[in-house]
Amino acid sequence: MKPEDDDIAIIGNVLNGNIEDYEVLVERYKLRIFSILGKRLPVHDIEEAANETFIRAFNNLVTYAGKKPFGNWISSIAFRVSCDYWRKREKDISLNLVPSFEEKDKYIEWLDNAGKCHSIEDFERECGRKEAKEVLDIILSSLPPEDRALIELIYLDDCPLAEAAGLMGWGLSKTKVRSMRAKMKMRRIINKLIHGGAL
Amino acid sequence: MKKQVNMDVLEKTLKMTYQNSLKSAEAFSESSDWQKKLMRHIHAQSFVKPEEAEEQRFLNIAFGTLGFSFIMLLFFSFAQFYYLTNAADANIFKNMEDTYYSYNNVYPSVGDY
Repeated sequence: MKPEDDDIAIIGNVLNGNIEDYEVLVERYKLRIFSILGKRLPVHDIEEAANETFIRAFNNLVTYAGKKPFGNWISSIAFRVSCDYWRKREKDISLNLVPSFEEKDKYIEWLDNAGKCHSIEDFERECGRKEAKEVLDIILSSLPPEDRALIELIYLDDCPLAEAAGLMGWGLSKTKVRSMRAKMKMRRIINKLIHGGAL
Repeated sequence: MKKQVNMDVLEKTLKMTYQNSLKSAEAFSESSDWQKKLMRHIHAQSFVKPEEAEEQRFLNIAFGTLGFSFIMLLFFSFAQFYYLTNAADANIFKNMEDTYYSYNNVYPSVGDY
């Protein structure tokens, strides 16, 4: 029996009232869900987001038509949970995005150095600096949630376009166009950071 | 003077920073406490049974159709009202004039109204 067929049998059992069987699905897919959420959310919120993913999946189990594997279906739910997380925090984040003068200078210096890396040692040195993570956080937080998700998936995570489209629940051409626009937005934000403009 | 930064190199550095900062998924998922809590929550959920979902779907479709019909009814009522008050008037006079012409071979003058 293929794992997908097994999943469908388990889902059938859960829908018939054997809720305990849902734990088999949790056990089977938790690693995948944690790896999706672990890449996209702050450490202290990952468990809660994983909870929400599995609860949302459980509540919508009736709507799962079995057209695509359960793993892909629940991954797209995890993805939406991470987008919702950033959407809820959009306002709070925009208030915290204004760096102080000293921070700004440090970021500009880091961006300047990071753009001149030639050797692996250069890259490793620049990536290891505290500013690297802070600048990355500022850039990603300045993007709208869906653009952020696309940048993380396609450009930072090297996820194939078709897979990203499946996770976002979009068509291939829409994903391609949106990812290009997201990249342009990211470059604009980087330019603003370098030249000291408001984000 | 504006600083020139090689964007491709910069993006590569950001990508490496992102990949270096990834947390291990295993470390989180191995917490058995989390799973116990989740299953307790799942058991406490009011589960939507298939027949209830079917009933809900039927109600959604019924109310959706009703709402759509109502909106269409409103639209056509307004369209008809508009036609009767504007366009229809012009047509009625045109028809009257044509009838007059067919009997008298001339169009009516202002006095004939």
